[in-house]
Amino acid sequence: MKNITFSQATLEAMQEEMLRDESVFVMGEDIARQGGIFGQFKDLPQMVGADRVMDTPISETAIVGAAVGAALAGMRPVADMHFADFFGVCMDEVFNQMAKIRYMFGGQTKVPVVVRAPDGMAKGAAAQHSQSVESWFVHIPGIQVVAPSNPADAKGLLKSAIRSDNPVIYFENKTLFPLKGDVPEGECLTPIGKAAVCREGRDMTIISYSAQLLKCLEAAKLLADEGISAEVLDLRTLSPLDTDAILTSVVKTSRVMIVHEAVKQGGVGAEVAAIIAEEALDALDAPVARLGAPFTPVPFSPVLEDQYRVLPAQIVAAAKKLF
Amino acid sequence: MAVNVLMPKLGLTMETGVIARWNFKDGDTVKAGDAIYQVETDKLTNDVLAEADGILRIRFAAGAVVPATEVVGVIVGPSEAAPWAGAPAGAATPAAHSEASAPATPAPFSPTTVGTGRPRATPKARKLAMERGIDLTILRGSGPGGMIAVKDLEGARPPRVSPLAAKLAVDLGADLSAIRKEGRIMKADVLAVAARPVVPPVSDAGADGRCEPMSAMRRAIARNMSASWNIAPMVSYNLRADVTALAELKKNLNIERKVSYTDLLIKLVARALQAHPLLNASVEGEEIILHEAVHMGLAVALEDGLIVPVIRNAESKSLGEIADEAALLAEKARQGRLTPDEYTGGTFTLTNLGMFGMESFTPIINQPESAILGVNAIVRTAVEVDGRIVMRPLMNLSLTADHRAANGAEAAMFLALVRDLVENPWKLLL
Repeated sequence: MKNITFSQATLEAMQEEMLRDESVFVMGEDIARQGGIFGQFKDLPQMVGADRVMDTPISETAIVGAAVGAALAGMRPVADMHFADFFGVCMDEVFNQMAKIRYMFGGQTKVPVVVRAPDGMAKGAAAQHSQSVESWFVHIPGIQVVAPSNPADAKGLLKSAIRSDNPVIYFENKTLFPLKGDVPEGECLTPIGKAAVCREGRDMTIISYSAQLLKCLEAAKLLADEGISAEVLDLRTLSPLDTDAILTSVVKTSRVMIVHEAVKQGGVGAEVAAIIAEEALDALDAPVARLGAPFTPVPFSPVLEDQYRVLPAQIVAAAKKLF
Repeated sequence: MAVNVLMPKLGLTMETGVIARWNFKDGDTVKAGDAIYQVETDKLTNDVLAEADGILRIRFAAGAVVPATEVVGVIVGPSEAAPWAGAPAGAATPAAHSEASAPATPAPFSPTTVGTGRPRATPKARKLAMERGIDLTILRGSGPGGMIAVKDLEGARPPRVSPLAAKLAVDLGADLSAIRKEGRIMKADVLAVAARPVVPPVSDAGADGRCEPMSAMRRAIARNMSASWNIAPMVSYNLRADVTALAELKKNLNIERKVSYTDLLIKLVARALQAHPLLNASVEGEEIILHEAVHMGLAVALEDGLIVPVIRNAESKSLGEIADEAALLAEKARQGRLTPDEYTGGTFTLTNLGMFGMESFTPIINQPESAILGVNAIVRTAVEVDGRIVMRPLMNLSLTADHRAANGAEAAMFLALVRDLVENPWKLLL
């Protein structure tokens, strides 16, 4: 084990995969010379060769379009979005081209693209640079969506995403980059489509992912002080969802809460809640609870931004209402 | 001065009755003699009349199954309140099961039943309660939003159930938690619940039809016949009997007094049943109850239904007694004056469609009996006797028997004996 940051973990993943497979390359805005806005590409050109880490013009359409083309030509490109908010610019390339080509050509070709998308609220980044937009992509067949919450999964999921023959959107919450955590030495692959129980519990299940998961773990500790044993499930992959893990935990605890940083309305929590209602209604001893951001853009004001977040105290309060 | 409105006890065997319909609403003014509600027992519907003037307060809503003699409502003066709190309890809520003469205890008002009358409970609590036979309506919810949660089930004891009742509940798909009883749940309780009508489906009769709700008797027939059809593996047997001798006997008897073919058949079938007790039996769970006496049910068609009055101990009654009793019961049946004691407890049923010219049919057993004999028209038929073709009056006998009780050979021997007695009625003297 080594204790490294989330950012270093993604860098290790890039380096290892690029050295392992020379068809892997990365392109994006300010990644080669600047090393990425969060330092996640720092010194990568020196490690793997400058020609495989490419700075691009400010055109997400061009970045994803080129990545899809390169993938069809046999490469395994990694495209960096800079901010997940910028997906809007290249949406046709993402959901009409990247997601559809393998299907429309009857499986004759593969589209092994990874789109890295830093998302979530940093301090005061405002409405256009703070969003969590994962549920847009969970709704699109043909794309896999992952969202690690810790350095080990950051490395393991990025490596699995690069090796996947299907397009994968890799959401990496901006606030996670500087956080440290244990990462296994040697090969580290987190399977796509597998959730993880990161805290065992008896009385209720808290389902979350990405940075919000850390708030849930804090809340679980507070709940334990009040005698409530909360299990915390990290979805890790949002599409395809690990239905078995969700249902197994719900059947075990009978109470469930889904928490995400993204807006609650139409969020991943709605899908998870619906699956539980469809498959395990009889297991529920309380209504399903969902926590997410209010239905409003992310405010710029730091005071309002704090109101917008789902903090551990709110999770604890909502959890207690399930009993 | 408040006057109680009771669930009447219509006959000795009546334990519970269903409030079929209230003719007045809670709070309506009623006059003595008004028919305030309809009570429905297994087969009959009776009106219950108001015994005083005043304001009607309803305790149990229509559909409730209430023990006989229980208070179902009260007629009060203008300033009086009902001695219980809250609105009328829903169909599933009658909690009282006091002794017949004990004063009524008000139905406990539970905040968990507000709204639909269905207790608010978590899905898991609901499922566990059903599995354990726990009545949710008597529990208080302490879960989220006052819902009944799994923790509220702890300590709630499932009802005690006799093994036979438990088996029957499974066989009939009856919900034990719907039975409110302080003592042990017995077979009769399960049968009462199993017989309760399901909510009638809302149907759209369309442009070329009309929708008529079933009468209480129609519903009783529907559920009894369906239950019989579902529970009994039935086999039908047909045999033609030459009634020459029986017709001769009847003709001679009628010089003395009126005796019908049905009366004669009751007598000789009762005799045949004594030789074949498996046809005069009841299947209960994994036991067969063999009845010593023959209580002969006689299907009587009514204008809007069917009822089966019972001639008790037909095996030991004279033909004259049978004829008198059959005539009396049939008359009472047509007038709707039969008491439950007169149409329950049969051990075998005779049903006659001969007057309509039927030559064969497959009657459905009147459970819990194990067989039913259908009597058909007498038809003059060419038959061979001693090498010659002659015309003889033949009557087809259509027996349906429950194979759980009687195998084919047993049923066939019984039917052959009936024919033998029809063709040689003098054997009744032996």
